[in-house]
Amino acid sequence: MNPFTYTEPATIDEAIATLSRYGEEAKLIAGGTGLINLMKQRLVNPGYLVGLRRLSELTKISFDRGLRIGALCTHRTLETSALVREHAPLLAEAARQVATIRIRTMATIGGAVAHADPNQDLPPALIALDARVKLRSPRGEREVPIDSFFTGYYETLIQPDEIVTELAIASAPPASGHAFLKFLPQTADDYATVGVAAMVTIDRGRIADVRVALGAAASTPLRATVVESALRGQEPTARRLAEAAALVADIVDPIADFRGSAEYKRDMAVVFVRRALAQAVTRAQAGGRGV
Amino acid sequence: MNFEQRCVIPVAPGELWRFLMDVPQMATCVPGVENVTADGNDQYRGALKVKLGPISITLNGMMTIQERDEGNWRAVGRAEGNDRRIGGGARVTATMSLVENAPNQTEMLVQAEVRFLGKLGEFGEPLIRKQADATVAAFARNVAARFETPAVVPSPGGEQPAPAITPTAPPEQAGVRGYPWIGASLGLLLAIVALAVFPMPAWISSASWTDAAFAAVLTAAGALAERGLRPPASR
Amino acid sequence: MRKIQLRVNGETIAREVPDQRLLVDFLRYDLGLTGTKEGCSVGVCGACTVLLDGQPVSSCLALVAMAEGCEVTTIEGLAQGDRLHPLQQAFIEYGGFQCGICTPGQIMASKALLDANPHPTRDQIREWMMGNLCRCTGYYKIIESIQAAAEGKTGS
Repeated sequence: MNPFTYTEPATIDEAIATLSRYGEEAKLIAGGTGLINLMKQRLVNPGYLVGLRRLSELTKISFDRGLRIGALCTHRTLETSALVREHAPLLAEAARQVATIRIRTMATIGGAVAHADPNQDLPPALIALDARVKLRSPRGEREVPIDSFFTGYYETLIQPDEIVTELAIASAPPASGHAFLKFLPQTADDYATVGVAAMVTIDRGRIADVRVALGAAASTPLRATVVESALRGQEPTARRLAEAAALVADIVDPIADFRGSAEYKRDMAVVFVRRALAQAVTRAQAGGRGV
Repeated sequence: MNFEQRCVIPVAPGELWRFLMDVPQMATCVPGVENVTADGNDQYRGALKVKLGPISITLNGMMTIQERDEGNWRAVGRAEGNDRRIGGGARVTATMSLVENAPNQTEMLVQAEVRFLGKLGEFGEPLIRKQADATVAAFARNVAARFETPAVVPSPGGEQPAPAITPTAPPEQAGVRGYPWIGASLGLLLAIVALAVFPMPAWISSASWTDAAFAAVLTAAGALAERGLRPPASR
Repeated sequence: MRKIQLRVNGETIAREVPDQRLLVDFLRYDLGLTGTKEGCSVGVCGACTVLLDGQPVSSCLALVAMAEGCEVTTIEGLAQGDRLHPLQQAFIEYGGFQCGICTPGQIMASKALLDANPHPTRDQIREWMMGNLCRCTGYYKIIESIQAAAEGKTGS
């Protein structure tokens, strides 16, 4: 790695002030599992690393008419937290499947969202959960729906002097079911060849609400609105689910790599969207959020 | 990796051709290009900065016009560049063709073939496709803008300008910035000449440290002058 | 350079290090604790696994500055004098290693498992240990060793 100066601000405002002061030369580091790798390859060479370890207020999880997750919560915390498992089991399930235990003990949800690798697992889960991202900068606080948050490969709406502080997730209505499927044809610790997160709410035998999001299917995590529109208000028959899943082939734009060709990923996106919908519907019909 | 972009520019092909064959001018239409200088023999050196999220890549290299067919308004250019820091590079062959489709209206077709090497080849090819597509599209738009009327560019997916190349503030580096060593050398040279030619006034001791001090002062002055001042016009 | 202070295997350590010093390099070069190995340098193979405040981490991806004030446990910290930790004993008795290069990482990761879940099922062991790669054993003996240690079936 190129040399740099490491500082650990004691407060969020101090961290923001450091970002403002050094501009493009400064980068925030939380768990560091993503950033340190990029720095080892000299793809990213900040002169200043702003360590977030001391910002303990960002490690809290609370529930008050909705789940509030501090940006510095680790994947391991999400997978084991009773609050997350109860109120957003989709997120706990996604977090559990990320990489290895060593990555999960360090990598944070705020870091995952800021890193914005489209192959990641948490972003599609957060999109299916309709999460909101809270950010703070010298200009104050703002909240951004996660749908519009990712703008490109490694690119988000975060401003250079801004920090993710919290993820907010509203409670799912009763009779909601979730699914998180991560297709790993190669090794268990890899990024997905395709990943699907789905939330379905059933009301009087019909799909009242549905959200489907894909990872590793484009240069950002992808919300499959075309699939959702085809299902809202419909009976969740196997045929309907399959027909809706087939529509995803037209909206994905997968990047070919060693995990699969673009064509293969496209085909698998259809398969796994169908399976995820079936699983989410089954859970919803079983009458609850279910773990 | 192959790219293709077309656009219509409201100017006659001949004039557009002349503009495109002026490489330093034409290169300024490519977002992220910097420091284009002629190397003789239709070769040009320059740098292309590309930004992908937190990753900044600077490809230093050369470009040349390999084939010119003015009769058919077709030219083939080649460019290659490397980023030493990450150990990657790119090779581009681009064909530009012009077709007059109405008086004072030319359709420009740019077809480019890009190969990524080294580290860029590992992760660059699929991931940079969108970036490269946007760059070629922006090139076409910028060329059109030179002729002051917006071109009709059929954009494939979203009218997104090429990502702005954020000029990063040069990190504080130890070592020479600019070329003060030129000034310093001149200063030192002046000092040596002065010491050789002019006798020291008697009231200054003739110990060698005064010679050294005199030389040091002139060297420092030369360095400062180079950095801070413009050279006098008469020189 | 920065001054750091942390606890390593129960001992308080204070050193001056460059900001970019990685934890794995600090342990191996600054402290001479070469039990921790560096395999892939990108956090995938698990050879560099150490415990940071009891949690398994890839020491090749952590800055030592990020361990300031923390408790780091390495393979050297497991034995009590001459008495091996049950996991170390199990790996010896059940053939959990051949060349040994992945072994410190395997043992540190499995210690973290048994601390979190003292009686894991075979599937739970496999899932937890999935990130520690081994080129020699084919993994069966590693899993058996961990099971034996969990069940107290070691000679120590």
